[in-house]
Amino acid sequence: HAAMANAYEAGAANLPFAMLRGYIGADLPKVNPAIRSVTCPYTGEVLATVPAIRPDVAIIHALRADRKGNVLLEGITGVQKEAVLAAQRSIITVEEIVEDFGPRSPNAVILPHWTVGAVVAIPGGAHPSYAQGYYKRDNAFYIAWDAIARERDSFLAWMETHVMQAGPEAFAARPPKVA
Amino acid sequence: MTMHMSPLSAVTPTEMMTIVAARALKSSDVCFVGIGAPSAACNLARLTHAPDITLIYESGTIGTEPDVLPLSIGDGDLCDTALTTVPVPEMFRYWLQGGRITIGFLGGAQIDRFANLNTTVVGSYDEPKVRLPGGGGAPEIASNCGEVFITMAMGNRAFVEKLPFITSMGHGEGGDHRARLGLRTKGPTRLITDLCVFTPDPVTKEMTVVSLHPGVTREQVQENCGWPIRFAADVVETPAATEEELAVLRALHARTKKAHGVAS
Repeated sequence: HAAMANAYEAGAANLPFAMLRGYIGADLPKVNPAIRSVTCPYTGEVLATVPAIRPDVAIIHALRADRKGNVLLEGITGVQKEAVLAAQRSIITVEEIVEDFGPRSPNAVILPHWTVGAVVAIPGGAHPSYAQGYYKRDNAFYIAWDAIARERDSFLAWMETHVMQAGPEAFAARPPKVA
Repeated sequence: MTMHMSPLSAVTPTEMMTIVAARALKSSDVCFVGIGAPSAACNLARLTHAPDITLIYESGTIGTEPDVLPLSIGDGDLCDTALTTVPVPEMFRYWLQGGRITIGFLGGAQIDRFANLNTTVVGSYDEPKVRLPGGGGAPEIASNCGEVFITMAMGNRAFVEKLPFITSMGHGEGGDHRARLGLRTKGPTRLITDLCVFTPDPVTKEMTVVSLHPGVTREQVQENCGWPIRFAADVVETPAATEEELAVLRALHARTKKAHGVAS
């Protein structure tokens, strides 16, 4: 979603709005007052704007944290780094907490501990999505989920069994380990 | 030239759509790939005549070569086989908006004669009959890619006279509407369906049937469309699916079903 991606980035950059060449000829701006526009002061081009996203709290799942609380992200990182940096506070669940990250790329995506609110070790925490190098996306679950989530009762029943009554250890058991 | 019928079971309309869409692609293309029919077509092209095609998914995976079709852009296989994976904001800003994508591949719930697309809502926006998944990156794919290919199965609910909502602009009201809004990209240049292929009239930009798939009649196409269709002066027959195209496509779908734990 182009506008949301830009909005998270603007939040991380502490800007009040994001700007993109977006929604041209589309109807969404007619029904969504948050979509406005700005005129380039140099070229006169009209560009769409959306308010920056600056959450109170961002909760993401990353791969590893070290003892100091620095957090390593890897794989399809999406807007996770932007979300954490745009938020007032953040909670980051990780697959594991390690003494030290050890050898890594100088370009590894790491959130310094002082940008992170709290780190929680929840192995399997991305399930049914995937964690790079730990486990794959559980596509069979996503297919089954469509039917579960279609009706309120089946959704609530699933939540009760698998979330409300289950502890974090339930997550650890769920995803198939990457070979 | 005798028409060589492949010994495999007869090609289905959906398979024909995917095969014809794949044929439209070449190795030099940089494709922004939507999930679903676009993904099948782009990967079929990569596995047959366009091995060097660059596939890009909205999750930031550039030059990805998945072995099975992803159910979502957030599938690790896309990242594992990509040349590189960039953050999503960068994907939209540098790669899509930066004008580096030659072909945007879109599907849609509804389409009109100018290839505008609706994936947002049927009925009124505030009291919808059906709330659709929403546009996601589609509005920006439609305006920023060099050109857009659309793959959609025909049907009267999908091919409508007037869209209740325009999620992504095709040719707008036709003619030079895109250019008047400042767009320099071509917009939809091909609408590939399960029955035929449309291309835009050079002047009016109304989607016009230029090719009918084998065994498909004009009446059949018109019955599955909510507006009176324009046929080109010289409508040709789409070349039949070859054995290789069919075999590679079916193997791809079989691998995908197995990987997704779906009984084939």
